[in-house]
Amino acid sequence: MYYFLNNTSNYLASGIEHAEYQRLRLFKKHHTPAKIVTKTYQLNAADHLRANGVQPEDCINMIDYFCDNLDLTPQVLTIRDVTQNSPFRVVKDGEIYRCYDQQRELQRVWTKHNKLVAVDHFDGDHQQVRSDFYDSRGFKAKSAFYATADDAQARRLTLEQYYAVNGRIGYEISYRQRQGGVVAVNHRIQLANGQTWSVLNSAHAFTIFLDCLNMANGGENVFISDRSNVTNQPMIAMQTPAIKIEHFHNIHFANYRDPMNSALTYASISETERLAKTNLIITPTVTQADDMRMRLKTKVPITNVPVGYVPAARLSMPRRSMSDQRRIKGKVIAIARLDAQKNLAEAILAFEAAHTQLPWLTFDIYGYADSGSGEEQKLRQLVHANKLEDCVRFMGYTEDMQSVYQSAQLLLMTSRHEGAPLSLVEAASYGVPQLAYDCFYGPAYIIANGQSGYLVNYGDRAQLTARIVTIMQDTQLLQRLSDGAYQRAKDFSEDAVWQQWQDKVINNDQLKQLPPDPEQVAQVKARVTFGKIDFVTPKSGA
Amino acid sequence: MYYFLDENLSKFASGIEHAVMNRQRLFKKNGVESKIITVNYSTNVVDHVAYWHLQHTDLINLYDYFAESSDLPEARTTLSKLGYQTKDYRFEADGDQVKIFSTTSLVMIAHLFADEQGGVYSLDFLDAKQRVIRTDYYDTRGYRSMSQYFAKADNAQENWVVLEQFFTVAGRIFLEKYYIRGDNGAGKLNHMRLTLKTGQSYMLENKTALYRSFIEQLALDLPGTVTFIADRQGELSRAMAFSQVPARKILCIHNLHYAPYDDPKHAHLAYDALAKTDELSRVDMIIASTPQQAADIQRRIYSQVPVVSVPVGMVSDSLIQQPQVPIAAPTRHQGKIVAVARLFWQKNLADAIRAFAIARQTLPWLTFDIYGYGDARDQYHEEKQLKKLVAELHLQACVSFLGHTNNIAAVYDHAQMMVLTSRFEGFALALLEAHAHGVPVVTYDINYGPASIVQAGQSGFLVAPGDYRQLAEKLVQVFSDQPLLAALSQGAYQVATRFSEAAIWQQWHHNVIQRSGK
Repeated sequence: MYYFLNNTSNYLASGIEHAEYQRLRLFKKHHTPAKIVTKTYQLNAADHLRANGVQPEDCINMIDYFCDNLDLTPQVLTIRDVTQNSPFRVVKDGEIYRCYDQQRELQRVWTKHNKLVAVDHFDGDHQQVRSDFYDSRGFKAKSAFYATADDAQARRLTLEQYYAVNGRIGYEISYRQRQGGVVAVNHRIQLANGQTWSVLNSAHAFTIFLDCLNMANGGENVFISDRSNVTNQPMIAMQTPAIKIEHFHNIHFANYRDPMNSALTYASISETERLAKTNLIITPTVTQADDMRMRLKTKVPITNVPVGYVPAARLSMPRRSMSDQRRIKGKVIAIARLDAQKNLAEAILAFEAAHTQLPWLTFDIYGYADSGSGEEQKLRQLVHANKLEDCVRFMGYTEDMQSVYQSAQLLLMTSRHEGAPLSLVEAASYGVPQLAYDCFYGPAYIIANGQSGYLVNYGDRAQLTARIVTIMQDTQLLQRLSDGAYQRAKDFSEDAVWQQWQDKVINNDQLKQLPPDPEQVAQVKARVTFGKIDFVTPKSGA
Repeated sequence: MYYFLDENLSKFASGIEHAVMNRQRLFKKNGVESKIITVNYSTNVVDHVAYWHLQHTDLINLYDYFAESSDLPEARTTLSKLGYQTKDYRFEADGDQVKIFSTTSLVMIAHLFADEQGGVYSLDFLDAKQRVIRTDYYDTRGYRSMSQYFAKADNAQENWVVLEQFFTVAGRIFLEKYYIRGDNGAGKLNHMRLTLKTGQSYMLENKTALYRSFIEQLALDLPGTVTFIADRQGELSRAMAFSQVPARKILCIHNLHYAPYDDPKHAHLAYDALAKTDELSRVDMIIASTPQQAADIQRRIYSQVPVVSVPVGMVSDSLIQQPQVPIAAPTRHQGKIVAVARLFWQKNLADAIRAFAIARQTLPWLTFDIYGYGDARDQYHEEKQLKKLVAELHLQACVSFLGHTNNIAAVYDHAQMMVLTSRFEGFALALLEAHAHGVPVVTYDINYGPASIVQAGQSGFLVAPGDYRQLAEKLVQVFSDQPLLAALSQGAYQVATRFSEAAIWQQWHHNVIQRSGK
């Protein structure tokens, strides 16, 4: 079994999730068992996964696992499930229902689209003492308990309990007040068979979960850590024999223009001992693998596998020429989160300069704003200051990227750094030529320079503008680049990328040599034989 | 050119400095140029050179280098050379101090060297409340090498070093260290400014940056590629690793590479030089003291950086040439077992005593001498425990605590066996010294040293750590079989020759000098 490790399942999926979900589809299609594994629980995870084209049963969350909430048949809970046997007087207030005993509000029920979301419980002084939360699959999944004081402001979270459908407590987190907020200080895991663990942090709990998963599947499964800061340390700390792969999705160094000397940003590679316990490192591009190999001088193999691929069905779709009516003439797009890394101000300013020469150009930016970064506001101000409101639009997050690509003529990317921008491959597959700053890493790997688009020296905005103008003015050139893009996409075909997974990971015998120290392997194996008792899987485990 | 990077060579040099000086003698003997590099400030580097019988060209100190004072002879500063004239100031001797008055106010205090040469060591400047506002330090080669300035306030508690200036022989400031007031009220190094004689000036954030500038200068001074061997881990090895010059960079590990030492199973890599890939990957080679440690490090770091071993101990030619003392010679005390180890937890001598007690039940003519002093770090707890154990086992008549000796050679020449039951060692030099005097060894097979020195069955025996019963069995076996004892003694003499100067040089040459070509 291949387990892809991530933090959680958000609705707004970033490049890492998209890469992971695509990989899952690829593995499934080739009958290679794989699952996504997440640490942080979300009430609506099943909905988010479905929205992103993933079957909820292909993702195992840690808390769901400990609470046996896997492979559930979804149910719908409504206000009636709370009120039907209630002695309280219920007053409806929009989607909120207030439950009164005499004049005292003792419960407040929150619903959304008639589905039960949460129930707050109050004491006699109307201080909130507890809240229950309902999973979108239709069961009470979690309660939060609050410590209260005579001073109503002093209320704070003190305990969270997570439940199995039958009400059994599978996971508990205790909190302590610290500097105006609370921090988790103890996690308790209890399996249906009675086995328990008490640990100090969620990372340790995650390690136990991974060990359980691993042994439930006979051990020596392959774990791919996709979100290094959350998943690497727990994976490396696993006690049971497993193949551990660290998958990079972004650059590995601090100064995005200095790959060989600026600080290493991930402990997964900057700590010798963590690195030495890794069986393989995967980067999205050849150059990053080369740079990393040169810099780390480790014996741990470092290879590259493209993070995205083009589904076979899309490659066989009829091509849409640049003169096709359905393409919007002069439509330039960028696909990027509104985040400093994406450096969209450069794209906007380059576009602005091109627009003064070719006023029929328009620019649509697709991507959600990273909360708290302030980047969205900056970009909107920039658009406003340059009076570009009529031709530059912020389109937000969209699920239907196909229509976006199929109606566009050019894609811009001015990121400070990238891992391997999936959007460049996607754009190519829909025949959209690309102009990109030659950043570390990705553009140079994906764009066939002069054939499917052009690389622009990093930061050379004037050159970027010049390229936009040249291409958009020259319909023949535009068509040639579009043809080149369709052509280039074939190099990232499903088959080509699957072949790389097979050669570099699945059939890579080198990986089967478990941790480098044979003595250690023997010890671990001995412990695991004994540990069959230690690592009993919950009933519904994989 | 080989540069050995160390911190200092004071009179209290540790085992590491001794090893480095031995290495330099060996390199010199074999015609390979090397210098010991030290980075700690001192006003009497010239004394250190004399104390260790070095040539002044054998050593470069960072401060001497930038002060351009390396070639000067000793010439201490006298009071009169300070420039304060008796017509203006009154001088009052007070032990090792001279108080200097302006009319009735005490304005300066000169501190003198206590040895017979005398001369000014430092000069304090006082304010009207007689608080030190500045101290000048004088190098023993006769120039002011450093001034220290203190921050003051009306509140007498406020007093910390705010600035240090370091001077060249000609009086130019080449280095300034700026301090901020730390949480504990003392000065805390903030940053430094280094100015070369070319006028070029560098802002340096910390000691590592200072060492790095120095290391880069050293490398640039010579044509061709130099080799640095960092014998100390920390700022020095980090400075070497990150120096941006075409030099070969070698890390020499003198201690165990993991911590805590007593728990190898859960221990982590002890030094950033190994634990941080970015530092590790910038060195060209790692040297350990034993092949076992080299193999362990190589396996653990799983890096392409090669790990080799060169023994840190060697047996001098003169010792090898001495006539051998046969094991049955009347000068050797029959049944005399020795241990040479401090009375400290790490050395685990209780196990040696227990083993001896068991062996003596069979062979009552055995005796056991322990050479080594108690340790103030544990308030002599271990020493008391060991003596209590000896009393409990009623061994006072045959187990002796003999403290420190200046003539360890005589101890070995009178003994027939050595035991070692340490929990861990870096190299276990005592085993090699014993072998060089024909003394066989029964030892715990601990990390690191015993297995690289003792040849099982040929010069002694290795037993599992903690198994003192087996150690006792081996003692009985050997002492019950005189031909075996004699053979092991012969074997010990033989094994010692593997650590001869020529043999060790061969390892340096083969493992390091030839291999480290880039």
